[in-house]
Amino acid sequence: MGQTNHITNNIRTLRFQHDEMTQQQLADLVGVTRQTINAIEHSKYSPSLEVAFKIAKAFKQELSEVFQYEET
Amino acid sequence: MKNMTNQEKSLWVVLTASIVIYGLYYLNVLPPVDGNMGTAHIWQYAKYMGAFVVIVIIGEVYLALKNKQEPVDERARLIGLKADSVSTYILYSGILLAIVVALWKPGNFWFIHTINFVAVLTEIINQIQQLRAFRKGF
Repeated sequence: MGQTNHITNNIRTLRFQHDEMTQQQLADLVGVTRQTINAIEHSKYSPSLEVAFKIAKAFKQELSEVFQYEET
Repeated sequence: MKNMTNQEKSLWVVLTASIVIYGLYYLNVLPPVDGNMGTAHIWQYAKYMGAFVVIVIIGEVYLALKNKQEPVDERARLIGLKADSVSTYILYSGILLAIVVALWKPGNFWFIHTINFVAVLTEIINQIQQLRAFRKGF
């Protein structure tokens, strides 16, 4: 009780490291809207495993290097 | 408008059309009458429904021409499902209300308009919920 689970991510940093990839470019690679990438980036939406894997694949990273699960 | 998905823009079109057209219809149809819907009522209803369909089609065509195609992704589908789960309760409650109205009011005028009002209200609440979720997240 009283626990909040929170998924954080490094998408903003990873986009920066990948030639300032835009949210739209990432969205096109993943097959979602730019607004969904924005919502994920700002932790307003936790994506499905499929989309999470696609994001990690777009950055050629392991899932755990893109998304982190924090218990607070 | 620039930051909205096509789905959000489409929701705004339907929401605006619903509020304007049904608002005008209910203003026109009031004060209500006891008894059955006459031919004049039925034509009036058909006229407003026709206007609603035409406005929505024009709005959707305009959006389709103006905006780049984009996928209806999992977030949009989840937002829709969440809004549906809440509005279903409103619809069921409204159906019960319409049954009560049908038992108390003679003719079909009140029953039809209660059912119609509840359906419109359910859709409007559903669309507002979705628009809110698109903006605030969930």
